[in-house]
Amino acid sequence: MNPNGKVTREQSSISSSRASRRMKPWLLLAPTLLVMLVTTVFPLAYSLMVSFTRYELAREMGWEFTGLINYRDAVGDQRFLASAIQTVQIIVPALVMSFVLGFSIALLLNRPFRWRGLFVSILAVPIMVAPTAGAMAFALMLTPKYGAVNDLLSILVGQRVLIDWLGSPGMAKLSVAAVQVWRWAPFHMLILLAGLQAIPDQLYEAARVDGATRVQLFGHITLPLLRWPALVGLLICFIDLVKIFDTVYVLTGGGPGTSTETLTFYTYHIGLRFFHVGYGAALSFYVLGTVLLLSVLLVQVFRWRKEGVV
Amino acid sequence: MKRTAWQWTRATGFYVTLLGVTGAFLLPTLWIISTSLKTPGEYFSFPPLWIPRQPTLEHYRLLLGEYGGVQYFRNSLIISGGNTLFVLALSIPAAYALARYQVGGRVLAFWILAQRMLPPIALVIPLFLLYTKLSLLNTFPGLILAYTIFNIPLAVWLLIGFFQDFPRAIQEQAMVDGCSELGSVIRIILPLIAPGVMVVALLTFTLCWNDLLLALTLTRSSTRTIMVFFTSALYSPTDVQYGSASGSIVLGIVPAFVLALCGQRYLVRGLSAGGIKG
Repeated sequence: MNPNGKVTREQSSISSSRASRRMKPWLLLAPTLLVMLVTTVFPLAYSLMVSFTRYELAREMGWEFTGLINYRDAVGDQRFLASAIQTVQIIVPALVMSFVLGFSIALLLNRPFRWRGLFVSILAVPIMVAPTAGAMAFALMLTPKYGAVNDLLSILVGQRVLIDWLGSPGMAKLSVAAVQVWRWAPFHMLILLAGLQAIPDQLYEAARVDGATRVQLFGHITLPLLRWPALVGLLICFIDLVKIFDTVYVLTGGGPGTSTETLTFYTYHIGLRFFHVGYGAALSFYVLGTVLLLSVLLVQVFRWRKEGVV
Repeated sequence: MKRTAWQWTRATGFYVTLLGVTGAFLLPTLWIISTSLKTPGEYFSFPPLWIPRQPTLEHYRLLLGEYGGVQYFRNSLIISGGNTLFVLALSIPAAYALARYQVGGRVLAFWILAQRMLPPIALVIPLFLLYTKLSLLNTFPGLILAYTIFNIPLAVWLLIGFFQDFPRAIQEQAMVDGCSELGSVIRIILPLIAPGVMVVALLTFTLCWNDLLLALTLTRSSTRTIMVFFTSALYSPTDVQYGSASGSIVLGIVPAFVLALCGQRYLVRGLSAGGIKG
């Protein structure tokens, strides 16, 4: 239960009697556990039940138990499968690009200079800006004629550039991915910068004395010691990206056509736009399963770390 | 020490790169600010204007007046503020119990944290159905309750860290001096970890403020949040609405800026849900 891996001593003089010592912590926890039961455990159980039924909210009909039909239908649902593939097509490039960019910025910032804290803080802003607001800003910037991006490119190239960033399936995916890069690169930057600063200087000095080149320092000291923060950062980012919704909703609305529909977006459409709630619930459990799998992987990484494998 | 030409070049290169990168990451924000100050004519000028020639606060006036923006802000404030208070009230005792008494062991703490990873879509569908049945749709208590799903795990996890980091000897000393346990928490621990609690509060507030999916599904006209308001402006895009949408975004990202500038140190820890110490 120790998130920081610290071992705390057995409680000593803090409590008076044995019975109240046993009860008190549970009393302190009870309200939280109750709220979690009501807001999470119960709705999930309810949703599982709904997912086994044909339940159309739009038509005034009751539940009709259908067993695993919804889950089987999902496997044959071309649009659902496409949304899974599109999710990967959007988030994998976003993950790679945000990591590379974040790492580069972390390396750039990993030296003493004036106003360093201020720069780090400013660069951290996109992490906390609402994804909705960020996507809106990109929507305005990507307008072919009136947006900043094409204008900037025009200035660089020296002639008018009029790229329709949201017009074709490929470009639209790229644009959605770009918003994610903007949002997640600072996250990787913060994590890796913390990792870089935790590397003791003596290591570098010792290696330099032994005649190591800069490339060798980087490859044999920096990279191996950053494995852990990098891995955790990548996994957390990946888990969050799998759930991507806001950017798609605001920037492309799933379009052009259905080319930027992601898992969450499609599930939202089925369950909460067309109100096929039974089927939508089943789809949402596929999303849940995916996230759960990735989370188990994350926990495994933590375990490896403890055992010294990573 | 005298600097050589090479060192100067290097330093210049470094600062140019740094400013370029920072500028690129700030660009969306700056563009939004600039758009919110443009007149309709300026918005549709080609090539685009980077800095409005006749900056106007007209959009802000319309936004806060005719478009009823004040109401959306108020709703967002009520929901996010209410949720923050509620989450803190529940999480502080819970985190204290978990940190000091190790109740439930690793399993319970892990279970609480794991909840944060749940995909919102898996919860928003049953919540919508249940809220419809219980008439909690379009109510502030309903929304405040819904946001605890993701914010309690985060708050509890961060607070556990703060309580554990707090030197136990200080608390014991206070209790030897005749302070009750509750008294020691309220008078000694909480004031000393106040900056940390502040950041937890800000993080909770911002995550709640920023959410779209839950707000989109569980709010109706009288509880609409600012984020839902942004998106509605997109679906009937006219120049005026773009301007006021930008204006509302400018006001809508204020909490994010406050958080990034004040609590940057805790951001990593918060976002990586305790995985790494910030």
